Amino acid sequence: MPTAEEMNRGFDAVRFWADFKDHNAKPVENGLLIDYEYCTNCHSCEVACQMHLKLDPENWGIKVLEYGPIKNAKGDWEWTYIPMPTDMCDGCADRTKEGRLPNCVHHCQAGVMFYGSMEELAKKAAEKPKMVLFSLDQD
Amino acid sequence: MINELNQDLYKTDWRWYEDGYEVTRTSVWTGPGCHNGCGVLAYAKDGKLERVEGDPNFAYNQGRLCLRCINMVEQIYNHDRLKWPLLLDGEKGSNKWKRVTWDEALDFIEEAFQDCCDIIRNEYGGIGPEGVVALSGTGRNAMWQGAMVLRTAFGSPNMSFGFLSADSCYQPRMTANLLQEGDCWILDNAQLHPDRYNNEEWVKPEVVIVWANQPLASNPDGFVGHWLIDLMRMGTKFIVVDPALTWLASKADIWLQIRPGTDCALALGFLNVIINEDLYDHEWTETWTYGFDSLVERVQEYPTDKVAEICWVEEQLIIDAARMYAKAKPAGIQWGLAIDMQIAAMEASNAIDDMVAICGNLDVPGGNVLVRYAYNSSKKYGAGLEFISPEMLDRRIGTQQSPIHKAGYTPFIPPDLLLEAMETGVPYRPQLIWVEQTNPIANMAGDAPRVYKAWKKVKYTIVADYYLTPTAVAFADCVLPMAMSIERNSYRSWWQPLRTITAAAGRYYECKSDEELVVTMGKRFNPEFYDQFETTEDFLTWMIQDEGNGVDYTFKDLKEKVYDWWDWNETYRKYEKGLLREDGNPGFVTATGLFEIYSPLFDVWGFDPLPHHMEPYESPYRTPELYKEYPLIYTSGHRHIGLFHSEHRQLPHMRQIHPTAIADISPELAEELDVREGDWVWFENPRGKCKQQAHIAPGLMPNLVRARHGWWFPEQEAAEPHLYGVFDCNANNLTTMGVYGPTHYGAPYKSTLCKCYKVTPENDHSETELITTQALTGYHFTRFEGV
Repeated sequence: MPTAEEMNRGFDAVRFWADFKDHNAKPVENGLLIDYEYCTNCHSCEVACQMHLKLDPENWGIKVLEYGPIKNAKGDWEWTYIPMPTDMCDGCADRTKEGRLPNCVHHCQAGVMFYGSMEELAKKAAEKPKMVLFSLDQD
Repeated sequence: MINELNQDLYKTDWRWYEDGYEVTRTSVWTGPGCHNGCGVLAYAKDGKLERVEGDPNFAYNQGRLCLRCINMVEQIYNHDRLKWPLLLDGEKGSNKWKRVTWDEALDFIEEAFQDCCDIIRNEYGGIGPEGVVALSGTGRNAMWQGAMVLRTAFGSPNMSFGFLSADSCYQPRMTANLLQEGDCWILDNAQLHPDRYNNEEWVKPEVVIVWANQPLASNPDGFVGHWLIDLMRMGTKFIVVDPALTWLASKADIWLQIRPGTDCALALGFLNVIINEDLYDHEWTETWTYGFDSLVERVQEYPTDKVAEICWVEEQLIIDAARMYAKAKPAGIQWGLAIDMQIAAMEASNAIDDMVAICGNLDVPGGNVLVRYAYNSSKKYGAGLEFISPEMLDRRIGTQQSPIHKAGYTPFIPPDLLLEAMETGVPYRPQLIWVEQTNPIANMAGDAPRVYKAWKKVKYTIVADYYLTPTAVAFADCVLPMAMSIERNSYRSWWQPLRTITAAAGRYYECKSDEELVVTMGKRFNPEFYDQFETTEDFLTWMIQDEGNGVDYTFKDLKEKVYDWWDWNETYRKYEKGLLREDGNPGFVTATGLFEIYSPLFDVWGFDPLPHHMEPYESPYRTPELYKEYPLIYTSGHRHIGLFHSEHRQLPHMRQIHPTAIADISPELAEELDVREGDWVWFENPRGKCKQQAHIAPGLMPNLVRARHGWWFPEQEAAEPHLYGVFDCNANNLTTMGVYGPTHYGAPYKSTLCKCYKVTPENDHSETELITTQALTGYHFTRFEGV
């Protein structure tokens, strides 16, 4: 059994995980910012991605996740969607190199997806609540 | 830059070449299709469509697209598509066909037509051609083409929706608009301006009522649902009227969970508050309306406590919503199909229209704006009517029985009376049904099994479609393969702008476009008229020029313009400017020149000239005994995001998202019936039953179920008795034909009763096999012209 002190030391180390050097670390240039306040689950991003990557219907490069509808503890209806890039997502590397937007961003019906540099998007993410920024692996 | 648009890649030319692709800039409006006409860029290689992208340079959709266009390649090259004309080579329903040439198919059609005319002359003492009936589906780019074939090639006046009982789709709302103010309105989402939200005159509506629709899924009547998200992000407040918790309802400031079929009462309750609290626009009402005083009297019969009881909505919410709408300047209403699908459809439409008018929101920026077909190139369902003689018009089925039809407010014959004519042979039994891209028994036909039985008595049926459908297999003698949107030249003038539809890919086998079919049929049956056109493009020029009423350029010009925005549709307050009436005077296209709150025409026709509530045909209050046995309110037809009615069922990427008919039931009902998510349940009422998979939908009105429509299974056996399982999950096994309000508009597709219980191994069976093997004698006649 580790002593309480040893355990705390371990805990501290985990708490300061911001200092961890992730084995997968590499500079990320571009990201996908999503204003999930207004995602309606129209599926356009999902199928646009499937068409671009030529994926069968069982595979997604981006998938919309759902919370709700639920009457939350405040007594309000909450129904939230977030599109999440999967391991199949390459940030539309070939399209973006050509100067096109990722196919999901181009077709998003609610207009809630943004593609750009991490730097610009991080700034934009700070403009309002309910934004989420995904860093993309385009290699 | 974030979301930077690369103008070198996204050009505004109508066509260009890059990386071995031929890129065509065009719009899509079928099919399989929807009500919209979004702009796309079609990338084709060697005549084969490789991919589609939304056109970012078209203000209408600004690059965005829904699944239907994104998934275009899978649609175009689907192996189930019809490749060449087919003639029946066995019994009807056997699914046995032989391949024929187009000429052989036309020979068959000509013989069938001659036989049809002989029968009508010999057995019914008629003229002949009226024995042909053409059926149309909903508003995709196959609306006017069937009408043209019917009226200009065959010379028959009998055009109908595909057994859509009481024309319950937009027709009640449009007709109400036409009668009250002579033109139709839509919510002003800046869609009429090429610069959209940057337009100087346009202002954002402060409040929008989303009434009886879920536009995010349905994209109704030429309105892109996601435009509402733009408004939401600009700060517009929302009131949602819907018995179900839709995503929009969950975000709304006020959600009115209304009992289906009581929209007219709700609107009268709103009007009661608006008038009695003096929230209406006095100046507008005094200047532009006729009969306001009578409305003041009428709304006293609808105090909010009574309305709350009728609608099952909390009284305070009605008051709050009425105040919120009336105090907002401007405020708009986005209304939808559920208003049409009740016996009080016309009455509800009139009452809602009154709200728009007296609150001063008619034809103002950010309100509800009056629109016409771009450049008046407005040959739609009425196309070709000028080819029909008055004598032949008098032979229309059912028209004499409905004053509004008789007066010519619609080019359709009443579908319910068409069905009766098929059953009874009175005034005559149609002999040939021409089906232009509609699949009634899978989709819009009320009481679908009754329609199936009656249709079996019709001698000939010709179906023009993309795929074999249950309708084609059950009834057709001849099937014609149709080209899809991206393969065809056409145009769209529905509202704004005038759009080209330009062929952007090679033709799939021997398919013809609907426009080519009109010309082909025209040259065979009416060469005197059609021989003036050498090509289909010539014919399209004739259509858009509309004999001097439309544009002054050719179809080729339109193709190169791609889009042409009509300034008339961009103009606000047209009634002040004398832009509506032919005489150039200010006012509306009505007999009084005013917005007719009190309808003198309704008075003449024997209808109540003011809106009034009518209990649904089957309801807890009108039929309490029935309600004891069938204690659930049954609605059908809420839309699938991405699918259009009965279309798209062949496509694996669509079926991944919508695998089968999934109905909504409430958590309360699920608990009572011990139903878990994904269990199959039966819905049943005295007319029939269907089974669907249950989704437990939080927030749904507890004793309401929402059945999906349009489900058939292309992957299943086509030949009867199975018929692609068309009646297994068919929401319309439970709906009606012959039931509507006094105006003959509006059937209770979305307001009837049922019971619900679990599917078990003991009670499971195929309804399709029962229905397709029943004796074809008799029918359950229903006629209700409600009060």
